[in-house]
Amino acid sequence: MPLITIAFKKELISTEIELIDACLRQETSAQRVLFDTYSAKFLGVCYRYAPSQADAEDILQEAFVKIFNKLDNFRRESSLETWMTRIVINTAISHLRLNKKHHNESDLEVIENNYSFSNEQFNHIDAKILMNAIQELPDNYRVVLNMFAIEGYSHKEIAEELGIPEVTSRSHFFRAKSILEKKLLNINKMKLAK
Amino acid sequence: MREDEFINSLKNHADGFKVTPSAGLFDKIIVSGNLNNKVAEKDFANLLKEKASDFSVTPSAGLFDKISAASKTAADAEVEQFNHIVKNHAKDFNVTPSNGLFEKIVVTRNNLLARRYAVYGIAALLLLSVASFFYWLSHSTDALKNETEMVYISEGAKVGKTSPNHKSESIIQSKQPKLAEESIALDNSAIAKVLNLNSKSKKPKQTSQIQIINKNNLFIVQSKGNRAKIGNGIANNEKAKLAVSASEIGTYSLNPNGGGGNSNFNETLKSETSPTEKSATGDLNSKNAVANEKPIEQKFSQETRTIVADNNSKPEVKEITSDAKANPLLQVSLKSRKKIVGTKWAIGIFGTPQLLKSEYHSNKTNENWANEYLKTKVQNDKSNFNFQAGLLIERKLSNSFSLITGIGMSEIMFRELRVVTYLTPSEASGTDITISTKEYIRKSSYDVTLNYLEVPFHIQYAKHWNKFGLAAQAGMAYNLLMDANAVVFDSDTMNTCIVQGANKSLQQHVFYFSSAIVAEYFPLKHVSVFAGPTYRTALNSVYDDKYVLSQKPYFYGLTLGFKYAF
Repeated sequence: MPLITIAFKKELISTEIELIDACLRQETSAQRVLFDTYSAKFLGVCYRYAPSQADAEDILQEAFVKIFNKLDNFRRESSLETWMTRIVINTAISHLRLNKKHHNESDLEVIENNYSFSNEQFNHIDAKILMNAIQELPDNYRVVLNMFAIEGYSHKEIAEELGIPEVTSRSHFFRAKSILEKKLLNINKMKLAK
Repeated sequence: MREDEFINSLKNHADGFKVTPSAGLFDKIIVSGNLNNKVAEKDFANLLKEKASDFSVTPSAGLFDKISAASKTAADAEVEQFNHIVKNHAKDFNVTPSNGLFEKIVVTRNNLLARRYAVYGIAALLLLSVASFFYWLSHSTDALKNETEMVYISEGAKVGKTSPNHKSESIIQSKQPKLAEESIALDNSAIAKVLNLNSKSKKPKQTSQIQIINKNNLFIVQSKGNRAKIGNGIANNEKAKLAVSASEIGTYSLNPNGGGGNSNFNETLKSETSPTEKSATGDLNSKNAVANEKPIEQKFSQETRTIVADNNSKPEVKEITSDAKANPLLQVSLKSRKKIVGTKWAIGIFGTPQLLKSEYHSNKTNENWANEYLKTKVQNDKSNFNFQAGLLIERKLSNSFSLITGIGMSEIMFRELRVVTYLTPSEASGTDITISTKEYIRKSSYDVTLNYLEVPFHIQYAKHWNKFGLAAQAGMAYNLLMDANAVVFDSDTMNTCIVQGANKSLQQHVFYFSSAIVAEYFPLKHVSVFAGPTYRTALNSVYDDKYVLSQKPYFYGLTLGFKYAF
């Protein structure tokens, strides 16, 4: 679709309600606007959960198919973005659950948490580097870290959502944190060395 | 600072200090008559209160964190700090999606919707087919009739001693599955009930009734009940043809002098609903019909014609040749359903490992766009081992024929080596296409995996000997594409591309002709195992009609499975 048309449509569909209504009428142009508006942000969310960008795009694709299919279930009690974010996160979690690679915890490197973490050190780290470091974490650790640290789930909620014991959620988080701190400190050191 | 200096400084500051009076002050003075000093006191107090209530001081940065941190353990605080930092970084982290992602979403969604509608359609069709099948089974038993039973009515009847006025009713029952032979005397109204002639069970399930009424030399034969459809009436002309249907009740005139008469049967065949005939025959169904003065058996002793009729074939007129038939007066042949021996239904599981070969050709309908820029040719394909499995349901239509359907999954894997020939430089001359001399041939290998949902519809002809059976099956199978994946290797760029959900260029619905020879063994009364070679061939291409290639796979397989009959 030509960009001019999209821009025109963007103006035309000035409010969220109009946009939703147009999407419900299965207007591809409106769906395009919705996608263009939120895709980058949501891909950022998927990126945090997925092991690679290709996986993140798969999750985003699946999430948007769900969003377009289930839009008539949106009760407009919350904002559209909140509702869609919830779908994206749920899709990411179920996607990872489906493609679950069972990591034997004993096989993983046992990391002692000797790394101090300070604002000063991490303020210098670029968001992209941090997200890449998160992406490199093992699946289970990455999901728990995302849910606990960023989405604000409690360990109890994570345990229920992922079907793991609460204590496992805690241990996954601390291990993820330790691995992440170690990685980021190494990156900092390399930066300083340069 | 000394005390006097402080006081001077305070005075200097106070000199310029002004306070705006509250909005209602003037009213208070004028209307309420308050003294200035009282007003000033009240106003000051109010002002102080007001200012105090709005007074706020912005705390120094990090005070909350300090308080919060003080109330938690060091570990909690560290976690919180960590979360805070990660969350801040993640908050505005955006990633631009790759080009074409939206189009992919639209295509995926459309495919899902199309597949959903197709599944609903197939489910509805299957439901309708099953419902129709059962309806047909319960209402169209005539179509299954394939055994003739005869009822002979003759003057040598066992009940022939009845008086002419007596209404004869004879129940004809036979435990033998073959001919039920009984003779009854005819009077004004003879009713022969044929009770489930072929049934081995004690309680007959099917009832047929023949009513024969003589009225003024009009001989009337009626059939009642669903199961027996009889030939109506008799004729003295061998060439006479009957147009008999299940619902027709014929009224026929007989030649009292026996065979050889000249009456034309067609002329006398009239519908019961004919007003003329009704007036002639009176109440045909009445059991109190007036007795004929002359016994029928004397009149029609020479009428030895048999009328064989059913709904599906033209009626025949045959002569009775056997003397044992005791010179019948009227012979009516009944056709009843041949009993299916044993169980009627069977369910089972089957699996078919199979070898795939394919028939390729370029898609002629799209030759224009395909060959204008490139020529695609499948140079080679490797035979691949595939698998098909599912559930089957079998319904016997007769002792030999069965209908088989079911549901299964079919996985097809194949490798194609494609040689794409772009226009050669010489071919491209005169066009606006620029082609490098080195780049007009490209080879790619495609490893394709297709998953289908399969619904077969087969007719089976089977013969059984004790514990063994042999069956031939043939029919169609409908395949609905569920998933498709491809791994494409480009020999020039040495790149491998994995295409998941590659349904776009594929046909959603593929039809197969399939056939099999199956040997069956019954280790138990109701359980059988079977095995045999199969052959399946696609009737349409697995690729979409618009695709540059057309590929029709065919398979050689070995089907294995077991059935439970009930």
